[in-house]
Amino acid sequence: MAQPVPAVSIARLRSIWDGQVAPSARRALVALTAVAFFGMAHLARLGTLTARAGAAAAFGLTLLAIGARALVVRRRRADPRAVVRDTVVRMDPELGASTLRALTLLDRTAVDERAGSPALAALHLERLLGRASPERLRARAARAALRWSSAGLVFAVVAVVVVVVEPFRVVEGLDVLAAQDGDAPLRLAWIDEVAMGVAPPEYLHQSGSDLRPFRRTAQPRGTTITLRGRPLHPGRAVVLTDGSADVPFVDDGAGGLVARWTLAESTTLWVAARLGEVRIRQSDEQGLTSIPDQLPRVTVEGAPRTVRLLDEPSIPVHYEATDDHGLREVDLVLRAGTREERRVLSHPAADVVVDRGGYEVSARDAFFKKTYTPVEITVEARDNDAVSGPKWGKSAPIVVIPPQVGEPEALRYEALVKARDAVTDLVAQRVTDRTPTAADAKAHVAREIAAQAAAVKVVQDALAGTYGGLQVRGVVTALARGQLRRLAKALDAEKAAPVAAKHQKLLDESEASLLALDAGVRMIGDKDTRAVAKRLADVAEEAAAGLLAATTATDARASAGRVDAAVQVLDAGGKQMLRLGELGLDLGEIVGNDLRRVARAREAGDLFHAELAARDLAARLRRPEPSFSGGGGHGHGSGRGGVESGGAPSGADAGEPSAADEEARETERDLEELAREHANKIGDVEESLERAVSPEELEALRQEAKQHAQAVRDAVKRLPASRGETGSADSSAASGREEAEAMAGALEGGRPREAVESGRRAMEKLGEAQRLGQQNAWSPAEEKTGREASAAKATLDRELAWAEEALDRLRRASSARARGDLQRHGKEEQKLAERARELGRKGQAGDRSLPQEMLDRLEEAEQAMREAEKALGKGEGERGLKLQRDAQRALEMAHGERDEGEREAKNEQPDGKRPTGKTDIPGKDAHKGPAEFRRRVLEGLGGSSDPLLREAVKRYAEGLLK
Amino acid sequence: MKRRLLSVRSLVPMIGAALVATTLGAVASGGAPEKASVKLLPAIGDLLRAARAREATLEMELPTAKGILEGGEATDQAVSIERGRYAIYAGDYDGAAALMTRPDLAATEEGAGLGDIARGCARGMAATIEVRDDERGVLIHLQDDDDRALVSVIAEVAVQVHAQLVKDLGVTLPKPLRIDLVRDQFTLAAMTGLPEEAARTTGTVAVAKWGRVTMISPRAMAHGYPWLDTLAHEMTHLALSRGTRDRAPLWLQEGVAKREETRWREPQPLDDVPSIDTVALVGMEKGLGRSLDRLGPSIAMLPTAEEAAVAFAEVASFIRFWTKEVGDDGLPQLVVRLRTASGADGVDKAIQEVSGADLVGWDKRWRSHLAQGARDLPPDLAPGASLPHANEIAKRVRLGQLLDARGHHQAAAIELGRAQALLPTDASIRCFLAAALVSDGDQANAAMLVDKTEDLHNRFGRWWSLHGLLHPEPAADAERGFAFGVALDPLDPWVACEEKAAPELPRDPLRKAICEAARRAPR
Repeated sequence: MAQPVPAVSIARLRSIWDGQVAPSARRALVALTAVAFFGMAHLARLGTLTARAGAAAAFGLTLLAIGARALVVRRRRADPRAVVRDTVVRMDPELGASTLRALTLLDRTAVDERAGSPALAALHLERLLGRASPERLRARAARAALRWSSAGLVFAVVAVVVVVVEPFRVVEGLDVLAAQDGDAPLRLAWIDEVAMGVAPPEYLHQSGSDLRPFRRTAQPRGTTITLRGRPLHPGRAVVLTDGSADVPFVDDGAGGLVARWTLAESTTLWVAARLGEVRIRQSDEQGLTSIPDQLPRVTVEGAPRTVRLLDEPSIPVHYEATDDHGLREVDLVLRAGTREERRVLSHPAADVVVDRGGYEVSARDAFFKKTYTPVEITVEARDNDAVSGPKWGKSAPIVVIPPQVGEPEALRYEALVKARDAVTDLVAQRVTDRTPTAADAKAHVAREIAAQAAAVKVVQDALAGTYGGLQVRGVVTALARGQLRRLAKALDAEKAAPVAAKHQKLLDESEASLLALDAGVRMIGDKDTRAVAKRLADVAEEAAAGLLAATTATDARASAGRVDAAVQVLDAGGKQMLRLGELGLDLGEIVGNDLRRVARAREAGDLFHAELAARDLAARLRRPEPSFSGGGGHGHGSGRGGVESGGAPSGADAGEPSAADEEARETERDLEELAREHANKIGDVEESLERAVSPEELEALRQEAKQHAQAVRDAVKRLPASRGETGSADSSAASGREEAEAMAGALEGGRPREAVESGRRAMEKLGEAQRLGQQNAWSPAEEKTGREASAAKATLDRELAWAEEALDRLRRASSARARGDLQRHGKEEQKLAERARELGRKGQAGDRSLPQEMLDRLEEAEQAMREAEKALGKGEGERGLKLQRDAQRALEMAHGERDEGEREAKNEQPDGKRPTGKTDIPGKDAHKGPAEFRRRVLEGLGGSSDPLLREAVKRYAEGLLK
Repeated sequence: MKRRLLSVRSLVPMIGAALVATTLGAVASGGAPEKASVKLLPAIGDLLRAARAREATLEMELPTAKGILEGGEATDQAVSIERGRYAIYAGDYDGAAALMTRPDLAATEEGAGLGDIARGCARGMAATIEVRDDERGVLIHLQDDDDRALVSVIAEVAVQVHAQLVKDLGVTLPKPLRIDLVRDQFTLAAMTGLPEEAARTTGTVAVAKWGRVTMISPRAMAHGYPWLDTLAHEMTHLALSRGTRDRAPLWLQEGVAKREETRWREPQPLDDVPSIDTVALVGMEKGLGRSLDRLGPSIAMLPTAEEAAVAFAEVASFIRFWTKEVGDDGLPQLVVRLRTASGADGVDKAIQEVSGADLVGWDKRWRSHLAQGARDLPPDLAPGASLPHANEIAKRVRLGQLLDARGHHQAAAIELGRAQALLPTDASIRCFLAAALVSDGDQANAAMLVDKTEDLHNRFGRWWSLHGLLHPEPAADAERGFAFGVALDPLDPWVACEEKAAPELPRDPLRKAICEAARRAPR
């Protein structure tokens, strides 16, 4: 049984100790808590996550430690041994040790009777406790209390210092400590005396204004909002923020702060102080509504709509583009499948918000070539949005359904067949008509005139027609018009004398004309069929490529779509070929059949053989020959193969019904050759004249030319030296400068002809630059270039006139010396004149009949050549040259405009192959390109008119050529 | 038929040269177009096996060839080339084309040539219609499916020709007989190796090669051609190639083929117009002929149609003379002997054995026989002659066609009448004129134009159908006229339909089908 401890004595000891120490300790601990709290606020104010966590942790640990201490102290109070140790042992260690032993003995006696009497042990303990001096204990406790008090004082001082130096930091720190998601809960004021202003983006050309602070406002996107204020708490990183982005306030140089915010999307702005990762907002907020720059709005008259190119060979596109702030560019956009082409319609001047204009898309537009899928035409306008980047507005589309492959050709062919039919009807009437007698001569003639007029009208309509952008041109036109003249001539003869012989002559001529026309129709049918076949061959290759891709591609559906599209084009094109005469019928049937082969294989899932069949079709179309020929005979599928081969032709196939097509082609070739040779002859005369110039004359010219060359150089030195974007004034001006410098070089080098040629080209380019500069006046640089080009042009014009005059002078002077050469050229000119006469003579009648205008031009050329011959014979070089140029112009006019198909065919051999063997490459001096043609036309027109009108005529000619 | 002798030297660069050379020396190759610009190498490998396989293939003994080839190494070059040849003969064009892409094969002369043929065949015959008639032993590929109606007639004729060849040559063609009906000379050239330009010069319509007949559809020509006789002609080439192991010289090939092209059927009135003897004689006298053993690789490759016509007349005349002198047994015996002939004089020896004289001897006899014959040929039939008023005739015919097409039948008849007056023997002009007169309601005059074949110098499909229409009695003659018309120009709706207007059809079931096809897809 446990003995009662002498509790009173121990309690007394405890009381004495606590009475001295506890108040001091309590004060010290309070001061410590305050220090920890303020320290925590300062640490948290750093704003980083680490700092905030560290601050919170340190403060928490402090509180924990204080609480733990209280617990420990309470427990020790209840433990007599701990009390003895805390009091007696510290005061008197020996007594303390005895006291502790006595306590131990007391405990033993309580459990072990053999240890002695519990009462005695208690008594012993009581006596020992009684020996402890309260005074000494009190003194000892007082020393401990002093230590506590000292610590408490230090803590208190620290706490006071931390608070007193900048108490607002504590608030900030605590606010930061309590922040969530980087946003502190307590709103604090950072600036006052706030002033706000707005500056719209520069491209809007609007002036800025003030705003009432912190009132919601709507501003154009890109507006700069300026916020000024007086800082309330210096040293803080004050920012303008929308919660995600910050714009720091900076010193405005007048003791205030300023921040500029560029408006993008609608938002709300706050002023805040940035403490580490935490923002402490000011309670004011500025709501901002962003007004976006609208897309340009484009309308096209009549769009959306779908048009067939065949029905509308010319598609007018009238547009209006509007924008809320300004337009920069308006384009016409053509799209077909993956192809896209943009054409600039306008570069509106700055600040223009409305632009109107028009464009005409022709069926002959290059974009429609090789385009078999629908074409989408839109007008698209770009605005001047410099903030979010330029934006394009797009009109509703005009969808153009291009003609099927070969459709225009088929329409043209059918029109010509109709013309042939009209002449056939005329012939039928004449074959079956009775020969005129004296009695009915008048009525007969009237009937003949009416019938012929009707037939001729049909032919002329066919010749004048446009078929999906195609026209009847070239050899066929010459042939047909020549035959019409032949008919007219024969009818005139019968009108003059309506007798049987004349009627028979009229009938003969009508029959021959019909056959000639028939030959022409078949010729064009053949030519068109071959051209269409080659186009379809490309499509067949595309189908084959699609089928090949379908066997390997993962996206079988896309490949199938590709094949379907190609097959559709082939099918339609093949059907058009059927309308193109005999060869077309033959090849059109093959297209139809081979497409059935492809379809059969596809249906069976046999893509390999479908591809082979498509390749077979492509290979066949690349050789657009009749399915059968040979064994004698003419025409498609004619001839007899005996049984295996080598049969004799039938009598019906042995001859040619008309050689008109061949003869027309021959005339064309002859005329072309004559024109080419005559052009070379002009060059020879020029060369002879130049060769005959004496070194003294040349030297004199060179000396005289020096200052003119310098004047030319000076005139163009301000023009750009390098070419800019194609189609710009800069580009043209740079070209003009190059040519002008070449002119100057040629002048200094004593090459007046080259100088004149370069000078003319320079004038042309500078004129172009001038025009582009005016057109692109919205661009200051372009406008300036245009002005400078205009200034340079004036000088150059003067210098060119001088050079031309110098050249004339030189030629006149050299003519006498070149007399021998000129006479020789004159004789050759005579031969060329003979050839022109012969061409005209052959074209007077028969299957070679040429149109009257062509005969007139040939006659004109012949006359000019003969006069040139005379002039050259007399040694009048300059005059001879001028007459030669007149003759050349007449020859080129006689040659007329060539059909596009013929131009293509010219690049190929008659058998459809491209030339593969040795080909003569013309030397650089022999180039007779477009520039040469322009030069001749300009010289011809400009030179042959009255000097007073010369410039006006030249400008007119330039306009025509452009 | 285009053929080219394989150079012995090309096959013996390597092992066993002497032995192999003896074996292959006389073997005619299937030939391949020459590659002009690329230096190609001869094939090497198991040449003996390759030679055996080639011989069997050329003889159209395809199962035997297959057996021989199966024993060869897959990588062996010479054997692989023969596999390619076999595949072409067997109609496996895709397989042949794929095989011939092997670089080592494509680098050889034969391999390159076979590759071209295989690719041409694969392309031309891809996804075409195949018609197999096991009963009659034909396998027909139609490049143009609109020609399907012709198949029955082709099969029917093939059976008759087959029987005739057994009788005349003692050769049985293997079944099925492969016939490829192609749409144009472009495909004909691609599938046979005959240069297209050559075909266009001589007007080649068919080639027997690669164990099959490749012929152009009558659709390819404005007025058709004797397509059934052509089939017989080409089948004869195949039979001779098989019977002689391709050792028959060109003159024999073409001469016998010309002979056989009409023997499968009843003779027709214009079969020997113009007389081949006279054409040969006149042609040779004009310098258009060639000696029999110098006809070149193929008549189809002669420089002009006239020379080809004379060459055909020469060989046909010679064979006619020879068979008449030797008797009908002569040809089968000659075929048997040629089968085993070897060396440069093998053919001469065979002729000598059969007929007691060599080729030179027979040539002399034939020429003296010709010299005794007539020399008169009207200008429209004479080889190399220019037809008087040819352009005027062509002009009147064309005017007539234009006027007729516009419904001016009377005016058309006037123009065509002028043409007919200038060339009264031309069947086509008579036919055009008769048609115009019929359209104009003048049947009596029309009938006179299509009455007697004695008035004609040539054949024309519609002449026969108009003949049948305007001379309905006796009915058998009219019926024969319609059949002759279809044999010449089956895809002209008027000819095919016996001048009946739609929807009326011929009674004969075969011609009924052809008429329907001609109306559906007319030429």
